This record gives sequence, structure tokens and C-alpha cells, in this order.
Amino acid sequence: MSDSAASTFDEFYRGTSRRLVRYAFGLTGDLREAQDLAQEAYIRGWQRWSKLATYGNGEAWLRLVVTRLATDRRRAKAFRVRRAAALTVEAGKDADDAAVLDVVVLVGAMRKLPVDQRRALAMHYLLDMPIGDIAAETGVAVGTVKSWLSRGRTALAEALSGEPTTAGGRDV
Amino acid sequence: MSDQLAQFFAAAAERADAVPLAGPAAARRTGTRRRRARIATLAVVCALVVAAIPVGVHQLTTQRGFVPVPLVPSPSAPTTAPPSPAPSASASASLDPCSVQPAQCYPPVRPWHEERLPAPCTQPSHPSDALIAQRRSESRSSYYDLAGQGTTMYAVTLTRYRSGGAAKYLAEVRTELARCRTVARTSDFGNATVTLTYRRVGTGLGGDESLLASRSYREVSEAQPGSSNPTYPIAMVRIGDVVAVVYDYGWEGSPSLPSRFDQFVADAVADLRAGKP
Repeated sequence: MSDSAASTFDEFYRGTSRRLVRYAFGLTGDLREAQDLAQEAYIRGWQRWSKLATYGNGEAWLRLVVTRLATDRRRAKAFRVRRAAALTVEAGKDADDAAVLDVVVLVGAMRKLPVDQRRALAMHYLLDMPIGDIAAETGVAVGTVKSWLSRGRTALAEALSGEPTTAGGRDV
Repeated sequence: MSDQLAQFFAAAAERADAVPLAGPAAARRTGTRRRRARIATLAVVCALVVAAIPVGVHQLTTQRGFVPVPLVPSPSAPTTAPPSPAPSASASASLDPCSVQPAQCYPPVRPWHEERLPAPCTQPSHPSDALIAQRRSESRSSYYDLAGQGTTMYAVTLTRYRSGGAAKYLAEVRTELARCRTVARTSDFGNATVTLTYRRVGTGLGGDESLLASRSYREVSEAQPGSSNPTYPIAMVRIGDVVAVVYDYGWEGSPSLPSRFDQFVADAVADLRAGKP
């Protein structure tokens, strides 16, 4: 492809990569996997760049790719084993850092949620996306996103406090 | 708790922001390399196809037409098969072992996520298999470009029966769908449990008789207790003594768009009307 295509792709990459890694991390709970998935999404993005560049929201396309790759990879035993090993290392090496502990706790709780709730939480809390935008991107009603967020928050609250929570979480 | 959650997520965002990526140039290099490799592969395939044409022409002239693999020779079938159009549809389609051996259509011989024909009760065969005259099963891929959705995968199995076997097959599937809606089995990938749920969705797909079902699976393991529950459609259409089964595999954990799947079914019905298999 042309130099100009490379230039616009590089700009797109630099403008979106941080948010994409955040999203991938929220979805998978694994920094290494988030790194892998984000880079893979950009590789595929470059292969289709002539079309992707014309989309109104290329970042949403990247998130779709990451979501599908994450779902697909989760089924591969080898990847699961590697991820488990990576998590062990990560949790152990910085265990004295309170912020890291927060992340480890959050990751453990997030991993127990269904993928739809994880997606919604990651978009809302890690990317600051409004509920209407999440609904549009995931193709569901606003009420469904609210329900995912509410249930996700309730489950996270239970996991993080170690006690069952009766309330459904605050309304969004 | 809301503030605490925000704090947790802020810490997670900070960690993610610190992850180094290889950079746009590396992504472009890998993407370009893969594209070149694909083009080279395509060129090799084209060369092989061109080289195979003389052989195919010779076979066509000696056999009086393309003959899908006869699974079970039929006593009542003519000794020479009637001429038939070329194998169908997609350039990326590939013939499958299910065409020649019924057990290859079902788990456990075939991985559960690649099964070609519904097996709600995990039976590797149906009584109507004895009435199969011809079967042609192939996987196909389709590229579409709606919001960058990319490639999707599906399989089409066309089966010609004799002595009313086609209607019998659909009756057997209906019975199984009603009897065995949920099947729990060990994952092909390890120690997880996969729960497959089949559901009869409806009819009205055309032909003399049709059946629309869905299969969804949930993988439950200690490592991944909160996995997704994707649902994929299965369409079965009978016209006379032939049945088409269209099996959606989607792409990377998501089913094909409904409009695309409808087109796959319409293509398969057109194949049946054209006299295939």
C-alpha cells in the first residue's frame, strides 16, 4: 500500500492503541493476552486498511476483532495454560503494590462474569463510553446494556467484598 | 462500592496503559507478509487447478458427468449416474469425509464444534443412513464486508435418499431435538465441560419440508466459569428425496449474520433444485 496509507494507519494506531489494550485487558484480564490481541487486531486492520479507513468507526471494528479473537482463543487449551502461568507471575512479582493488588482482585472477579457483561464494563469504565454508544456498538437495546452493567457491578461487588449483595446495583 | 469500583478500574486502566505494543510499523510488516503469503498460496492452488483440468475433462468424458461420491450403492439406482452440474458454489469450498462415511458427520468422530449434521442425542448414526444413495458434504467460507465483519464459515451437506429416507431423516431429527435438548460432554480442548443445547426454532425455509434449529454451547471450567453462550443456526430443507443441511460455524466465536445465513440456505435449496447432489 502507499506511503499515505501507511501514514494514516500509523496515525490511527497511535490514536487508538491505548484504548484498545484497555478494552482487551478488561475483556481477558490478562496483560499479555491484551497485548497479543491488540497487535493481532491491528495486523488484520492493516490487511483491510483500504476499506477500514473508510469506516466511520474503525475503533469499533478493532474491538469487534478483539472480542472475537478473545472468545476463540479462550477455547484453546494451550493458550489457557499459558495465560494461567502468566497470571501467576504477574500476581506474584508486584504483590506489595496496592494498586497491582486491586487489579489482580478486579481481574479475578471480572473473569467470572459472562463476556457480555465484561464487554459492557470494559467499555463503560475503561473507555468511558456512554451507554447509548455501547448499545449501538453491541447491537442491543440501551436497557440491555444497563442490565449488563447492573448485573456486572453486583457480581463484582460481591466478589470484591466477599459477601453476597442483594441490591441490583445503582441505576445507570 | 461504586467509588471503590471506579478505583479498581482506574488501577486496571493504568496497568493497561503501561503495556508496550510493537508499534504500527510492525503490524504493517506482519500484515503485508501474510497478504503476500496468501497470494502465493492462491497462485499455487490456481496452478494445481489448471494442471488438474485435463484430468477432470478426461474423467468427465469417460464417466458421462460428475458423480458425487456414492456412499451406499443403491440397488434401485441406475448403473450410470445422470449428468450433473459441477460441484457447487464457493471457490473456497472443500469436500469433507462426511461425504463418504456417516460417522464422520457427527461427534465424537468429528469434534463437536465441527459437526456437519445435528446430533442432539450424540448418536453417531441414524436409521435412515441405510437409505442414503449419495451424500456430498463440504465446508464453505464466505467473505462479506458489513462493518468489517470479515469471513464466516459454514457447511452444506446434500444427501440423496431412496425409499422415503429423506422424510424419515427429518422425522428422526425432530424426534431427537425433542428428546435430547441438552448434552453435556467433555471439551475437545481439555478438561472443561461443554453443554450443547439444541433447539427447534421453526420451519418455513422452503422445499417440501423444512426445519430450523439452533445449537448453543457453553463451556464451563474452573478457569473460565463465566464463558459466553454463542448460538448457531442449523437449517434442514427437504425436496423430494434430497435433504440439504446448512450448518453455521460463524467466525471467531460469533454466528454469521442472519441475512447471510438465509442466503446460504437459499443457495443450498437452489443446489437441490438443480439436481444436486
